[in-house]
Amino acid sequence: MRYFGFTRITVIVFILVLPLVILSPAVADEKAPDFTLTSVNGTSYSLSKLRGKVVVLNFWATWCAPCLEEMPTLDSLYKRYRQRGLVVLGVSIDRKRETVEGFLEKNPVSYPILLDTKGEVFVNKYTVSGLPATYIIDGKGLIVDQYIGKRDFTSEDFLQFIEGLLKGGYGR
Amino acid sequence: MRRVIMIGLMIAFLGGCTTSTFLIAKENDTRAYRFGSTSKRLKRILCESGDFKRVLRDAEIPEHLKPQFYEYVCTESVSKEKVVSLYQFLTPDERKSLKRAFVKHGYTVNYVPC
Repeated sequence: MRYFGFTRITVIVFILVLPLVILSPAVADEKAPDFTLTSVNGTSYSLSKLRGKVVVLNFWATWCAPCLEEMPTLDSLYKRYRQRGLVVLGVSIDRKRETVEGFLEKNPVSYPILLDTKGEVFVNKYTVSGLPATYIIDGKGLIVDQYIGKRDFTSEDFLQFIEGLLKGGYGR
Repeated sequence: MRRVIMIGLMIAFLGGCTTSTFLIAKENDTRAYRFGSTSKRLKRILCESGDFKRVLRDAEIPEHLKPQFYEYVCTESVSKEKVVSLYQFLTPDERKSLKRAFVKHGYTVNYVPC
């Protein structure tokens, strides 16, 4: 009897906790910290200069397997919406530019890859708590959603969300 | 036996699906703490003893991160979120080195995989 009760309690705890673990909590709209970083090909990017555009800001590293798995979906997203003004920025936290360059030679993507080798943006500005980490920033410069962990950026749900942002609303 | 398995699965599930750091315990201490915890007791054990300075000295991690780790673990600016972020910024080899440095200075380390 005691045994059966414990099992039941364990199952109930799992059911109650599971949604908390799986669901990425939506972030109340907060201003995305501004930053300026340089891309692997030497171009400087400032978030403040992208005001008015929807920005998908993705933190990754060449040693992060889930990061590499989701990159093709980010690339597809960018190719689909770049003409409509969507900006995708990949921020690598690898220590050396050469490491990132070497990776991109074999795995090219269409969107800019910026370098945050010292963690000034990752730690000091965004205090990122895991990899990969993605922030969705609307045209007003507000973070409207954020994800920790691998995502499929070509899922119907996400595409609808982006469509809504590009049209000027939140889309959800 | 079934109860033990269920408890173990629950701990693994809850612990394994969070982004975090790792557990540390001073040898001969019955308590373990998550590295980055704001516990006053941990601060006494790790900081007031000078242990963390020694750990950081021996850890092969980028030099510019060491004062940041110290600031967010041992000073009034203590911040669990910043410690987690600094830890997540480390490469796998740097994380191993940090843990080895803890072990070298008398701590046991339990890594919680994510």
